[in-house]
Amino acid sequence: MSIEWIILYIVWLVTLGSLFFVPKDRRKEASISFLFLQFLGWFLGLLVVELKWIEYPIRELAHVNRSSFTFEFLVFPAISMFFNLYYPSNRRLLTKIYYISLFTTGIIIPEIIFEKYTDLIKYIHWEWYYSWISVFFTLWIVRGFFSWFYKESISTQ
Amino acid sequence: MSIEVVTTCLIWIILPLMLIIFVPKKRIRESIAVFLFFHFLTWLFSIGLTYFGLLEAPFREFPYATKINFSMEYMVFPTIAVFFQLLFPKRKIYRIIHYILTVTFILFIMGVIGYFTEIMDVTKESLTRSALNFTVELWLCRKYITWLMDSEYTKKNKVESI
Repeated sequence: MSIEWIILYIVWLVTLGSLFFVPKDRRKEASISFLFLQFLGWFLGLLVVELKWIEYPIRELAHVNRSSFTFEFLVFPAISMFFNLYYPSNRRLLTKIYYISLFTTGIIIPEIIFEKYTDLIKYIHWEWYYSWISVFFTLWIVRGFFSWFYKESISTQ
Repeated sequence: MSIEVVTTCLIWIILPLMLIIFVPKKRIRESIAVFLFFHFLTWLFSIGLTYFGLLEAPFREFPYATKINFSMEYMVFPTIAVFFQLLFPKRKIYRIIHYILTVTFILFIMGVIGYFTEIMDVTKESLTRSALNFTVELWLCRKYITWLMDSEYTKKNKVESI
């Protein structure tokens, strides 16, 4: 088995396993950020592949999809879930930006390593900082949506 | 412009407008949750079915990136699910009829699109399979939404589990 497939299996196992760490009383909230990120990820993931900015030479469901199903369907949504659960909502703006940057960097570092050393992802007309910026803003949008969704919930009670 | 392009444009103009017009303000949150969850199901089902050669979409918005018809799975079916939820009846006897009517409506839409356009390849077999798939998907969606919505919200908007 190639290194790429080993990585994919590990990523699936670890991400699915991480779902058990969502606190029981916060599963509802977590599911909403998971689904919302899928909503963004499905579209954006297809777009960057269609425009030939990025390719994923080794991927699952290869003959159906050229985008990264693992990342867009599972990994990024799962990360966004934890991102929202521990978001420092009562802290000042700088702390929030630092928090979003930290998550973004945590996603981009493995991506850069995979790009360099494996066939999981290849940048065509793309740079690592495009990824950084797009992930940063995606997380920001998810946060905006999430706080709107749950603020409204509080007001209905 | 081909009929497929016109249909796709119409989907992206009419359906968002319908959602904006017909979703009541106090049920926006619930409707978004239904849309998002159904979208998760259609993604999973469409990718699985296409993988096993059971679903084909000759015309696609992202012909290079995917073999799935994006607009149908991303917009059409989730929108139908939102209206399924909004119109969900209170009385148990009507609920079964509601399921049957919604699934029939989906099959009708698929039939029309399959007959007149290349957006989806529709056969008798695929319609039969879709009838089953969509019943399961709608049921799962109801399960999710009744679990998600807090009891206060549920009481207020008469959302009940089947």
